[in-house]
Amino acid sequence: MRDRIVRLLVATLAAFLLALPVASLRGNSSTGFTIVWTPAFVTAAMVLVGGAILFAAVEAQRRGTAFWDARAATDSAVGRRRPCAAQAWTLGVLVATVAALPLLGLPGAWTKLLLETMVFATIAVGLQITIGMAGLLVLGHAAFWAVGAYTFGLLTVHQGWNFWIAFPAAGVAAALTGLVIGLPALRLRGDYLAVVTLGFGEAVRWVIKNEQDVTGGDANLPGNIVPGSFRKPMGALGEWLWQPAAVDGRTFEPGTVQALIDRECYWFALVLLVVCVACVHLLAKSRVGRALFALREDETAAKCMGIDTTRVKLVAFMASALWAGLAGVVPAVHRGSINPEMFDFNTSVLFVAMVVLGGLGSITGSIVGAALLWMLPALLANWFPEVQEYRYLFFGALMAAMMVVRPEGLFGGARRKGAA
Amino acid sequence: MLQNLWNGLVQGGIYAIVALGYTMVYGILLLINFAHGEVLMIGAYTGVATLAGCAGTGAMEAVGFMPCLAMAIIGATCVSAAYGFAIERAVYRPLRGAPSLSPLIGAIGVSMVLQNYVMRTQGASPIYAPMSHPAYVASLGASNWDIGPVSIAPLDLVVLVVCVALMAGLWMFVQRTRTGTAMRATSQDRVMAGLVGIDVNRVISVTFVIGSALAAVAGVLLALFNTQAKYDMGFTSGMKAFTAAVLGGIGNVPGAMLGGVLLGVAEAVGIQLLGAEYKEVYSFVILLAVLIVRPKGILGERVAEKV
Repeated sequence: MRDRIVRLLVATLAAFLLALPVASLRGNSSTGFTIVWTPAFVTAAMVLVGGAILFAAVEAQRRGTAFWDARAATDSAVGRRRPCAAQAWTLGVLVATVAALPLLGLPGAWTKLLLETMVFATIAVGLQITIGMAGLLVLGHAAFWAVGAYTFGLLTVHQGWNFWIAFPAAGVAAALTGLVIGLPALRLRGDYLAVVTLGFGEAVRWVIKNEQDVTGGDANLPGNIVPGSFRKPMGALGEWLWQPAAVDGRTFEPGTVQALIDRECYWFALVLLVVCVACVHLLAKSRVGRALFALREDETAAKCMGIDTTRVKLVAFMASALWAGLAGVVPAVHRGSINPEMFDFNTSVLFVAMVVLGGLGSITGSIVGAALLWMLPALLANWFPEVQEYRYLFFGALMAAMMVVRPEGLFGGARRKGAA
Repeated sequence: MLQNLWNGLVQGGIYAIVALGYTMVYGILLLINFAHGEVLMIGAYTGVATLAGCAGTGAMEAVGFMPCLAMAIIGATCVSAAYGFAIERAVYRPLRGAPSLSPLIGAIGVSMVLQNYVMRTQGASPIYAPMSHPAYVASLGASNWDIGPVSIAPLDLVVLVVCVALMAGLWMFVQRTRTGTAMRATSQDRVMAGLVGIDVNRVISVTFVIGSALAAVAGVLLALFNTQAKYDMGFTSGMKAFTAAVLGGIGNVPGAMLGGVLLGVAEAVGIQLLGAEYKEVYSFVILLAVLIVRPKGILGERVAEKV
């Protein structure tokens, strides 16, 4: 205990000293040096508080009273030990409730927030295949989201494709991009994928920015290239989603149009999430899924057991990209426009943070992670607007701390590996 | 064309000393230190702040630009080295021996924290080096030398001299000193090195301190080159330096130097042939090409997987 306190105090002092030259020292070419003390003290205080929480968490884990073990908590609440039917019922009721929310008069802001959360949850569950199951880090997943969104947008805007053809095309395009990017990287040690996807994420953003004639660059797609044509009626659902102002000859007040789009997209995102969860669940139980878990635990051993590691890794990576691509359609439709800044590096890190917080290998965890990391800052921002500015700082700290204290995340099983 | 090649060579020198940090850490820990670029950025901030402060207090007028630059580089080196040491102690050391995903995620977390920390405390807009100060104009701001078609700025020469000196110094350190020998032994086999009496923890700390110090110098030079320091500068230069390390053969010290220079030149050729719009994309394409054609890099040897 005393040892812990001493370490905490040393860490606080170190943080203060490290913060001094970077955060407090200002050099100005007209006034010379000034020192602003506040940031250094705030940093030290944050490290003290955060470190105390970490130590408390470690201590609790050591004593076996892991109060944050969400898996155990839900197991007892949902009844994982009980027959499968009970679980299916709980799930069904949950999905039905979420589906019914817009009909029960959910405010527009909430619909939008839940909709975004469901899109992120879809992407996080898809990313779970690569990070959670195969143990490969992807740092440019937002790029696949962008590939999906832009494929959909370009096909519908420039080619006038039907919604139901452009939607799967978005997923296929993202998966094929995953193949091209993954093939060189996945033959090698797993960590190359992290850097290759990191570079890929930036490259995609630059291509979108530079090819303004096609993508609209920073000025959004559709921007002013094809004014007004973005929301053309396209097929059955497309008609609803893309031009609600004139569906079935009905006309709507300008305010209700947005509400209608929100609602349609909300259900679409919910269906997408449910299908995604089902697919990933089945994949985890399949032969490929088992191979992926084996790969995560020990790549060399998995290879020796006859698993074609390159192929299995590639399947996982492409499946992840596919779901990100499909999920890209939703913001394109819902917002009516997309721009490259939506898909920057921060977004990619956000996805990783969702998966890591929720727990490696847990689907429930990814959904909870997405909900926590997307909804919590948005809700807190109602009272403290500066929360949004500091959230990435917090996410980074959360990821690093999570790895040190509880690498399996909130919902992950105890799959710790001994020292290599 | 020749002018572009020269610029690429200078830029490549900077990449090379950043790549050294990646390669040394990877050689010993098999870890991609994503926070390395952020350590560079912190060095650049400290250096530029010191330069600006010197200009503001009148010290630059009194002693001239070069002593102030030396002071800025020394200050930046100390601060960055402290950060590198602290990051290893706080995050990477507890994660040593964990599955390889954990330190990677930890590293990206640290990188995120540092980037946003500097952005929030120093502001999202860049801070500028005092490049219009009379002392700077008198020393490095002199007009370029024209040698045939190539025009060489004094700053280019300073950058190249510093880079070559650092590389030579590091080479001597790794090859000739006791600690350098211990580093090479540790990168060959960590457990065995520990058994023959090498303090592995100390070697790893030294590696991080040296890598971070090199990154700091690169950061200050890069900031002078671009006349500014910005919170996200570590991200792009980190990506390029990593590409350079892979190009030369990751874990291989001369490889990183060669890779850095080659990458800088390749980027310059790319800009010449294909235009500057895709400046940020060339290094990624080169990375992919290297991974397809020769994943072990130019000077790298394929090491058998350790079981």
